[in-house]
Formats: sequence, C-alpha cells, structure tokens
Amino acid sequence: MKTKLKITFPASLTDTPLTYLLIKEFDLKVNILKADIDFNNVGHILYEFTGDQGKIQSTIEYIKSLGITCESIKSTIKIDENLCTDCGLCTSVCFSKSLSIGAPDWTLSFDTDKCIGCNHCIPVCPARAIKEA
Amino acid sequence: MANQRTIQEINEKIKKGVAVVMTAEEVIDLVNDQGIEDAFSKVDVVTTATFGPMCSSGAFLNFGHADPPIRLENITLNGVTASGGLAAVDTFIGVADEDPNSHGEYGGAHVICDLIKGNSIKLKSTAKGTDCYPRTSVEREVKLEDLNEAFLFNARNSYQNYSSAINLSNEPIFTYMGTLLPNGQNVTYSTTGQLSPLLNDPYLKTIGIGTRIFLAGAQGYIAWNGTQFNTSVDRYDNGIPKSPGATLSVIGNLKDMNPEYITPVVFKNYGVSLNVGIGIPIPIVDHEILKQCAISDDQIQTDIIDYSVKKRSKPTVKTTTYKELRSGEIDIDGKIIKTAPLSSLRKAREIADKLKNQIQTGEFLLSEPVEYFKLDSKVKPLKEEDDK
Ligand code: SF4
Ligand code: SF4
Repeated sequence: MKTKLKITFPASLTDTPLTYLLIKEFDLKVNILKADIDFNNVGHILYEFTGDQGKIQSTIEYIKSLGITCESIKSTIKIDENLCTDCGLCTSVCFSKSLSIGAPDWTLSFDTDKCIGCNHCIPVCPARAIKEA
Repeated sequence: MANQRTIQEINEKIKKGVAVVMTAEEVIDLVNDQGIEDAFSKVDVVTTATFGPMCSSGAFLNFGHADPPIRLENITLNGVTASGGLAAVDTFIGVADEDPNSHGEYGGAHVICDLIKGNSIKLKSTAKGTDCYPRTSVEREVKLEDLNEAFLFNARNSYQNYSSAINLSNEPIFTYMGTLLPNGQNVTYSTTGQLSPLLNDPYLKTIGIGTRIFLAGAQGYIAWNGTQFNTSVDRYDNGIPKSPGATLSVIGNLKDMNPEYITPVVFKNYGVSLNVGIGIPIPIVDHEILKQCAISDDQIQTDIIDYSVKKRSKPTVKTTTYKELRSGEIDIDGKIIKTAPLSSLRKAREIADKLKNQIQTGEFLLSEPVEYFKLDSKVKPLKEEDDK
C-alpha cells in the first residue's frame, strides 16, 4: 500500500536529516517526490511510502515528535468538477497517467494513487479547475 | 424508394413529431449496418457538435442611456477594455482582451460568461462630452437583464480539420494548443472528428448563411462565412480537406445562452479565450450528404504540425487519423507519444443529443440557407512591406 506524506519543516528544523532517520529507524521504502526550501527557510518534502498502515502510523507519530509537521495526503491537487469541462488537456502533461480520458465516456478520471505531485497539470488546465490541494 | 427529400419536407415531419434524428456518431453505425439506401429511408436529420476554444469571439452590448446621456469612451467592463468606437451606448468586447491587473487570468471571455451567469459587472467609462452627450463619466453595476441587447458574435469557428500540434524543439512552448513539451513528448488536437460540424458536410451543401444552429444553448444563426475561410483546399477522396478549410461566423442572443455551453479558458503564457458549444443540424436531403455524415474517425485524416517553427508555415510531422489521435497514443518514427484533446467530446456529445431532442420535440426547426458559400475561396497572408 502506498501513502503520500506532506512534510513541512519549521525554519529551525530545516536541516534535520529526516529521510536518513526514517530509513534507519523504520526501514521504510521511501520515494522523495518533491523537496524544496522556500524563501522563509521553511522546508517541504513530499514522500511516498510503501508499507503497512501500522508502520506508517508510527512513522507519522515519530515525525511529529520531532516537531515537524506531517500530513497524509491523497494527492497534491484537487479538481473542481463544476469547472472541469472534460476537455482532456491536462492529460497531455501528466506522465504518471494519473489523469486520463478516453472511450467510452470521455470524462476525466483521476487516479490519486498514481499522482506523483508534480503539479504540471495546474497551469495547463484552461478552465482553472485544478488547484493545489 | 425516394432518394431525395427537401428541408421543407423534413420540417413538416418535425412539426408532426415524426422526424427521425440521429447524432453524427449514431448514424455511422446505421449506415454501416444497413447501407446508404436503407439508412436514407430511416434518418431525416443528423446532429453534429463541437465544444472548444474559439478565440475570435466577442459580444455586442447596448447599455441604454444615462441621464444626462454619455457617449461611452474609454470603456472597461470589470477592468477589461471594451471598444469605445461604436455609437453612444453600444460596445463590443473581445474575449481575448485582459484585465491588466489579473495577471492574464481574467478577460473578455470571463466578462461575457459572468453576464450569462447573471452576475453583475462593473461598467466604467469617461468621455470628452459633446452637445448631444454632455456627460463625461459613468460608473454602474449592470447585469445582463439590464442591457437592451447583448449578442455573441464569433467571426471564426467550427474550423474544418484544424491541425494537431507537436513541439520538436528542446524547450517547452506555450500555445493555444496547450503546453507542448520539448522533444515531441505530447500531441494535442482540437476537433471532435466524426462529430465535428463541417467534417460532416465538407462541401457545405446544406450549411450556409441563415442556417439556424445551437449556439451555447441559444438558437443562433450562421451569419457569414468565417474569417480565413478556405474552400479551395486540397481534399482527400472522401471530401475531407487536407488542411484547415472552411470556417463559420455565428451570432446568437446572450440572454438565451446556458453557462454550461460557454465557458472562459486561460492558456498559460498565451492568454484568454472562450469555449463555445455549437451544434449544427444536417438535413439528410440525399444519399451524398448521408455518405458524408457516415464518415468515421478512422477515415478522417489530419496533419500534426511542429509548432516550434516560428514561421507562418509550419512543417507537417505526420499525417494521422482521428482514430489514432483518440486512442491516446501515437507512433511517430517508432516513438510512442501521448495524445490529448483540447475540445470536450463529452460536452459536444451532450450538445448533439440536446439538439437531437429539440428537433424531435419540434422545438427546433431547420432553416434553408438564404445563401450558400462559395467553393473557390482562398486565404491570403498579410502583404509584405515590399509587395506592390
Ligand atoms: S500533479 Fe502531476 S502526477 Fe498528479 S495529476 Fe497533476 S500532472 Fe499528474
Ligand atoms: S484540463 Fe481542466 S477542464 Fe480540461 S479535463 Fe483537465 S481538469 Fe478538466
């Protein structure tokens, strides 16, 4: 089972070697989808973990105990169905095939499990139906 | 068995509630199963539709006179500049004009759609003041219902066989065909193929000036040929143009439109445009026109053009079919490339169904064109500076 965790480091903890700690303490199979430090020196990481729910739960608690914010998310985007026209253009930049459209009904489908959080689809949607979650 | 019928005869059937109407997708199966002759006796009208960005759109609006009256100049509607070049309280707002404070996120298309949704918009204008129009400024919140007239005019839409796009350069490019990734990593296409209005009547045998159409939920009309109208293009044996061909100018009342079928769009680093839903009924007057309507995506060929070439004429990378484009992947020189549409087939189908229903229930009658289009029209480029 795959779980995405959105991590936010307060500026004072941005240099914590979190990935190392998680692998060492929990022997987790971890994939870093995104990582950056913003102008306020706040760090952001988007992880994807593979493992059972119990292990993930204790990981979340461990991260929180370090004073780092941790949130389990399904994907980094949300789609407003009232604005979406099912044009399909967003699928042109979604290489994980999380967004797809096709026969028979030609309505957009969004498989959150496959989403890698690249956010490429956000500016591409001409209806402005995709927002950061 | 009769092999012809007139639009008048079809209208008589519609009035009696006995006309048989099918969408351009449904009729393909009918013709394939039963052959042209039998199918002809079973279908009177075929509905076609499209829903996609049509940049050459705008609306004429009349606000009514203030007291004392003003001759509107320097007009903005929700911050978007509208033309002050018409009579006193008339204006034209183009969909692609942008509110400079919106970072390209709000433009004329949004103003038009806000009006259709019943939202109020802010009219601001200043003027020099004249003897007959002494007032020099006005600022009002107005809604669509407050206006005298408000009609959409679109100078070019329903492009016949618009080309698909790819980018073979090594930088991404931002176009009205979407974001084209470097090194040919995606292909985008923008017509509804077998459901597309002018691909079902490629020689415009039944469509002309005065044809009544479904325009964004209203009953609108074809007003003229569209700009860059090109009927002298090379064609495949089945009549489909080899490159972009005919276009239409259409007109319809904003007050009758449904916001479901007209929506604003923004293309990154390109600008604002308007999605317009159009449905055109095709009267099945003879076998020939039925044959055209039965053409399916696998028989409609189209070119994929390299948009990274910054010249008027861009090279064709591959000629493909709509069937291949619709499959979601295309093989170009052994490389499998993702394809994605720009116009909504889901909405176009909804429009074709709605129009079918309106015709079946007698709500929508067909109209005989008052004039047919010429088949020898060409498109000229802009004259070069040293041209005589
Ligand atoms: S964020 Fe990236 S992976 Fe997720 S749906 Fe958008 S384009 Fe696809
Ligand atoms: S690009 Fe936007 S409007 Fe088009 S299908 Fe994707 S989410 Fe919907």
